[in-house]
Amino acid sequence: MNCNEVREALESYVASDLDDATTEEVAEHLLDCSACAAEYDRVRNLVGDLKGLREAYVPREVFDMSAIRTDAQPRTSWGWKLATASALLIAVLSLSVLTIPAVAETLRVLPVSEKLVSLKADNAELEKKVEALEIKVKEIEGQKVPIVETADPKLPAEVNDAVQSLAMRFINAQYAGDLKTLKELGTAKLQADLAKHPNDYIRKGGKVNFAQMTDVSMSGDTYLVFVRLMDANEWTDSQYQEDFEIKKVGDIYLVDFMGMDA
Amino acid sequence: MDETELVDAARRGDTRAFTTLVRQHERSLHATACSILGAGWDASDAVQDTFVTAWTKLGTLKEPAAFPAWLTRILVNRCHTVLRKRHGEILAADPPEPTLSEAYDVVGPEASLDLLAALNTLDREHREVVALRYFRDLKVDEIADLLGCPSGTVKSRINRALAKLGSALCDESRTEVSL
Repeated sequence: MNCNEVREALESYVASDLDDATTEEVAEHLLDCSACAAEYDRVRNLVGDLKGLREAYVPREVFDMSAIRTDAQPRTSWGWKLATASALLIAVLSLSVLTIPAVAETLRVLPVSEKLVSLKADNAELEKKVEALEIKVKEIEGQKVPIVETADPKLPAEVNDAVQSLAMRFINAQYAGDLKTLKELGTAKLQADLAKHPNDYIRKGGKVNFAQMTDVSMSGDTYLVFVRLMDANEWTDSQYQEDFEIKKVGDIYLVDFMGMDA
Repeated sequence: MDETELVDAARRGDTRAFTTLVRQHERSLHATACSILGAGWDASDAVQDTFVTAWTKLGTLKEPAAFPAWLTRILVNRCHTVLRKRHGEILAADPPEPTLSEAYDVVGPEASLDLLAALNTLDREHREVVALRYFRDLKVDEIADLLGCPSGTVKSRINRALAKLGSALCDESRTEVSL
């Protein structure tokens, strides 16, 4: 290996990420080259110092479990108070959908969560909401999706259907790697973000399964809908969720914002 | 209990086990969030939200051993969502002085503070890979997967970040000597 190749590999060498053969080559080079050996010392010391920085920030507000049990609102609200409650309910219910035979074949079996039991025991209000929720299966853009009826008051059916269809088309375009369609489905704001960060929107593919979608709710002039889904590639360790903010521009619904969550 | 056992216990509703996990991870998560968002309330909130999400959705985690990477992924997604909520603003080239934050106390010897200041001169993409690599101990492939970019790009960013940090620290020490 020459000096350039060794210097390119030094960070990985410090992290012990190289294969045995390359590690040995680098080690031998460092024995013979004082300039590269000095660079190795610099990188090693810098990496050690950087790791020390992980303790540098001491938060003035420390997390404790009461933040969850009391359903405390986050300080920096994004105006999603109703939507946040809906999203939490979706997470709690995400495993209950297994009782719906129509979609059982498209869902992998998830372990039963005892979290639901402890959440129900801890929060009577949440329990009432859980029991009051209805789940139905709806066909959207050719896909059968369990819909959690979380929105209260409910929007007109044509609005609900239009926004849910838009979210479905957006997700399908993400998995198809279809940036052109994503752009067509977005507002100017989303288009600008899409141009800057296309990788945030494209999904790597694999069969996508829709675990749940909420009914549409409104916050101001923004329509909100949450979709829980999973696929073979994107989050192999769990389901994940896409949160949509949709606006009506003239007669057309367009995606203004899409966020990804666990 | 080791971390896998703590995660298993937390999944069964053991709040003390989850609190232990929080304490083990919170400082490095805060450091990571501050690297991506700046040392303000957005970063603090992102970490808090991450723990709330993790507690709520722990039942969906397939492998307890994947907990650290899963937690990091939740945080990074949250931070990216915040960034997009800022209407696509790129973090200022000169972020606020890290020692002057309402949300955090910044601690450490002077050399650490110099390094922190140097880190904050990097652009967001470079700060992010440094944080994921050295605060969260992710491997290059894991970072690539998380950020949706090739491993080569991650390696390149890490090397460039280390080179720039070296230069920034050299300039700092030259300034001190000349004073």
